[in-house]
Amino acid sequence: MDWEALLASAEGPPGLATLRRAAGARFLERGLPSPRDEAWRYTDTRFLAQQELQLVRPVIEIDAPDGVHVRPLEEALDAAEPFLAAEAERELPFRLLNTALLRDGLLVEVEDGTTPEKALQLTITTTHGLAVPRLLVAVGENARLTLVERYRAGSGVCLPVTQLSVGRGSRVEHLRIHYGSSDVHIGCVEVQQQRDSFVASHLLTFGGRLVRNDLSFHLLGSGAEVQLNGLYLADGKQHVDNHTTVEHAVPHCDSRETYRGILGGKASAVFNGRVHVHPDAQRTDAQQSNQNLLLTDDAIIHTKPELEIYADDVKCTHGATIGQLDREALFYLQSRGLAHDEARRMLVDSFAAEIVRRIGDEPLRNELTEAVVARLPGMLAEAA
Amino acid sequence: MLEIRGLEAGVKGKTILKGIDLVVNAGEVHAIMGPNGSGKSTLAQVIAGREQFVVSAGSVKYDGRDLLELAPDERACAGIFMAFQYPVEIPGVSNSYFLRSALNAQRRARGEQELDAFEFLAFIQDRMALLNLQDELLNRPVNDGFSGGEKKRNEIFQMAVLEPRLAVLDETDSGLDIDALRVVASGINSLRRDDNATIVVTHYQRLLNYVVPDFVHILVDGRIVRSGDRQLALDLEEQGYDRIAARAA
Ligand SMILES: Nc1ncnc2c1ncn2[C@@H]1O[C@H](COP(=O)(O)OP(=O)(O)OP(=O)(O)O)[C@@H](O)[C@H]1O
Ligand SMILES: [Mg+2]
Repeated sequence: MDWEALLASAEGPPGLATLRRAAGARFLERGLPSPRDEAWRYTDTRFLAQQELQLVRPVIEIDAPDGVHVRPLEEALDAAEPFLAAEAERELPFRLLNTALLRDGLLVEVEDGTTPEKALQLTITTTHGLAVPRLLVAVGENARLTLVERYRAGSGVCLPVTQLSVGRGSRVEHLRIHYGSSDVHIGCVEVQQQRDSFVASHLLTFGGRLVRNDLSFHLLGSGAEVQLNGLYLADGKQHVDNHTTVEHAVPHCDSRETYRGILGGKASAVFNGRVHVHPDAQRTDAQQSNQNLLLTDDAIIHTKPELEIYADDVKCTHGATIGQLDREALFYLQSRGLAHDEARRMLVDSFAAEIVRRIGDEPLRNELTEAVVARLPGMLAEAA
Repeated sequence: MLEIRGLEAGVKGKTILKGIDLVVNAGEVHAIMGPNGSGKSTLAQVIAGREQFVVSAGSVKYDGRDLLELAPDERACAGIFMAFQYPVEIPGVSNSYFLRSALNAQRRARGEQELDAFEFLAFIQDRMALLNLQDELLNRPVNDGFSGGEKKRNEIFQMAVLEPRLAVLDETDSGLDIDALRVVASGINSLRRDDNATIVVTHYQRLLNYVVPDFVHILVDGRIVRSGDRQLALDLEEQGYDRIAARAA
């Protein structure tokens, strides 16, 4: 893969040329992450260098309710400026690459006090090639938004970056759903929250050849609260890596993180949950839990909490579990007449439902419930 | 209906049941009593098909079929039900969804029409009333956070819905208050028919005042050391296992 040639040939809005060049230069300087890099220890992306990737424009379907303004990035460069200002200095290689190839961006704005009745839904399809969608979302003060990013993939490589800024007193429910199987999906979500804002983040991924998500939540105003819910399903030889970071920068903020994984076949997964409590962030309440259900002996999970706490008056808890299906529970269900397979499916399904039920929007909750139900039989059959 | 001959069973090389003979006919109620650790729950679980207990000798026939050949769910579909001494909590699975799925699995096995959510609710109404079960318990996850008594009532409620031919109730009376005991006992009694049978495992004569057994068996150290009628339970209450067992020896 000749990255230099790719960067040179890529087209984009002239107003972003400087930014793109700077990000491109930095990406070339750093290259793809190496497994020696702690954050990429279990996720090897070097095979991408062996491929000949063509840059493609993803197909983006937009379903926007009243009160939500969606513009192509090139028509909204002024409004995008605060989001993009520091993008050429980022650490994450794939985020730099996204910036270096930036073209298919959308800017979403929700004005102060606006409460749209329905969700903003974006369905992004990448069937082949390399796609770098970018989504910038500015939610004003005392507003509401339900935002859905739904990624569908064939065998391509998708490197989506989403930046979300949530104003004072606003409430946002954000779903990032990835329906993948043999694709590469390396995504990034960055959320900035002002005072008294609330964000429920749901990350749901159904597999892929290699999936990596880096999510960071910056709690910048007192009273901000974030819920991080995650569900990852993988089997075969799939690999899913979720790295989350919560930055408690100011006092009196809450974070509640619950990530669950179900792994079959020879799948591997990584969960790395970083919680960073800054020296001023007294009265922080941070909870983290990561639970994993392994359906086979060959499935692997690397789970790691990473707590950095520099304030003294804080409540931080974390816990991780790795387990198999509860035999007692299986026997109980079977003893009432449920066949072995049905009993297993019911238990695995309920494990996943613990995350799905947290989705506030009912049609979306139903969509995900069905997606889990549709995904499980294959995973369970393979594990049987 | 149930015919157990020379049954030996254990776990991890440890023999727990050391030769059990027991015959249960349709229409009968059998009580099994015995000291802690004597193997009562093991016997119940072997009948229900818990694979962790390995049968090393003997046979169990159910309606003439080899019961030990059947998977737990096949036994359930054939009409066997065990009320657990320690009902399992299953967070995330709603009680009503679970029970409807179980009932439908059994109905499918019998070639009957499955019930949809609506028909199921109608079907269970009077059974809930019978056991004084609140709607709330139906919508909660299976046994999750239920009190001890609620769990036991939930077991008998399941039995009332599934209408087994052979019910094995493992210490269903333990942990019930007086009123709950009456409710549960009347539940058990109202399900009694000529064509079904019940085995109650209990430590207390108290239950047997309500659910009157035709036979009482005393299980000590993996063997039935005495069998008799309900008088045996009364004698036991007075004299204790040592003397009853000694008299048998
Ligand atoms: N999984 C197991 N592993 C090892 N020992 C076991 C296991 N299950 C049961 N046992 C042992 O087998 C014996 C019989 O147990 P069981 O539960 O059948 O007794 P019980 O008669 O039901 O007692 P209780 O009146 O206390 O309920 C006990 O000594 C018990 O410790
Ligand atoms: Mg017992």
